[in-house]
Amino acid sequence: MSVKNKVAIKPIYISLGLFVVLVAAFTIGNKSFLSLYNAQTILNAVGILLAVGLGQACVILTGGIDLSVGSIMSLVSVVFMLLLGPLGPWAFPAVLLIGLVSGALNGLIVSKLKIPSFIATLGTQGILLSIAYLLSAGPLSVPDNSYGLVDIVNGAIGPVKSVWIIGLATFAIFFVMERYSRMGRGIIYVGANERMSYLSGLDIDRIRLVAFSMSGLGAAIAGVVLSSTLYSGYPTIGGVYVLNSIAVVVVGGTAMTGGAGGMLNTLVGALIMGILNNGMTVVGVDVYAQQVFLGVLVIFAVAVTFDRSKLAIIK
Amino acid sequence: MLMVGHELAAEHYRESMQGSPSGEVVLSVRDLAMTGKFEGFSLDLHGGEIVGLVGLLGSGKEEVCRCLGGSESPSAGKISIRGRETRFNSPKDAIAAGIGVIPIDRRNEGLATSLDVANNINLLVLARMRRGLFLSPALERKSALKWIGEVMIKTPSPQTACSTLSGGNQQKVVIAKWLAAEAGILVLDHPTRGIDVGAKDEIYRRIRELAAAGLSIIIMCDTLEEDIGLSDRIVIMKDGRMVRDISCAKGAKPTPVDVISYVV
Repeated sequence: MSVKNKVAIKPIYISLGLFVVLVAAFTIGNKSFLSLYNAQTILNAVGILLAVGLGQACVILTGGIDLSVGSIMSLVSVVFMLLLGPLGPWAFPAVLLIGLVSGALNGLIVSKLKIPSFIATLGTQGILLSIAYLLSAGPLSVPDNSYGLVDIVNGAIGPVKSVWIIGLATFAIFFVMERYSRMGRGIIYVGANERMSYLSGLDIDRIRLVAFSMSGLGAAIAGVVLSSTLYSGYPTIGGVYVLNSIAVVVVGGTAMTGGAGGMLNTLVGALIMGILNNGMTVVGVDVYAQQVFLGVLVIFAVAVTFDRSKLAIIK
Repeated sequence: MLMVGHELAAEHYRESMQGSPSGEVVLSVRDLAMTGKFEGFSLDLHGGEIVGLVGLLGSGKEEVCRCLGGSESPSAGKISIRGRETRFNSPKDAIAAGIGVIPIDRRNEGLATSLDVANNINLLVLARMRRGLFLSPALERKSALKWIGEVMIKTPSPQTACSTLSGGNQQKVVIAKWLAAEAGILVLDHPTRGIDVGAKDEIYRRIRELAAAGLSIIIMCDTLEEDIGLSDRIVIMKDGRMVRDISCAKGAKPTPVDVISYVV
């Protein structure tokens, strides 16, 4: 009966295979790759990649893309440093709210103006970055009386770093939303077939709004963690996380065309990207050459997962 | 000889299962119009009734069905469901009113072919798949298995991607999805297009069973024979207007030759 059986191996198994290969290769390249200290360093990076990647995954699953996550991280880092003094612990919810609102703005622009998310978030990316620069062109550091607060994020409970807990907690929330809520399922339906979703009565605008808001929230969490670990906030802090967040999502096996993949894939993707970024440095790959490997990996991952039956809608 | 041939053709559409509609008007359409597409469309659809919409491309029948399904808006006229006037701003409103549309283009409009059978069947009833706050995988699986059995979908498991199923089985998934939603009125847009003979027969039988259970059906078919064979009556449209309303009662069906002159 079935004639179409071209995807023999699920993308996530390719990703897990790549994960194993990378760990083996880097360990052979340099024994200290597997040291406790280096593993901790990798996991710190993974926590940040995970938070921003999970958000990006929500948007990519709908078939869209969020290019503003880097700017949201930058803006959040600056505002976080500015608010720590006056607001104390309330600075945390305040900056998360900024992320949510920025994401919601993206969602509204995409669904109400009916323009591709690529363009909409390219626009807000510039706007949010400008706001960050206007608030502080130079780096801001943690106010003297606020180190205790920042060290909540930067600290550890026994051997377990807070950053890992934050990453895992974010994963748990996003995973439950994806698998066990109607909204999560709606995101998948819209990404898999938007026309069918509309004809089946799904509220596509609302689903988009939530997906982009989740992306903003993920970016804000990543921004708080990153600025806390660096004890600093500045407008260029998040720039590299645009490509990184997309890479985390697609390397985990989520399709850019939407509707396939998810949060578990993104967890694997974050581990791969954390290992790759760190391992290339550990085994001595030239810093300027590292981007070549990242670029090739992203293109390869997209090529494997891309649903070409939807080629007509690629923008 | 001719008699035998006629009986065979009739049984092909399961005419022996054809019942008689109830007196209750389930859907009432009055003077529905869509500028440049159709005008003056009125119809009373009764409980358990199958009405065939017949017409050529451009007759306006497709647009009538889209207005009934809420995916397009009429420019004038009234739609009432069980005596209550309603307005559909989107398919969501039509679904809430109990109207389900099984579209002609099942790959692009009926299904998410990349998703599995269970996710497609349960799309409209996810709200009922919850235990407390969260969706229950057990309830979802139970519902999917129930409908796979009910509509006799040939699939290895509820987790099989719809893209790997045959056309007939994909169509059965779409039918299961709308039956699960307990739609009281179904608009079937060429339900047997591109599916094999065996699956066609199953779908004919299913349509009869649904009508017998009280569902009201508006159908548009691939052939005039199919329209006449399945329907209790056919409404013929031409150039955006209704031209004839012809009874196709059991045992007293017109032949395609009788009606073709009204169609073209």
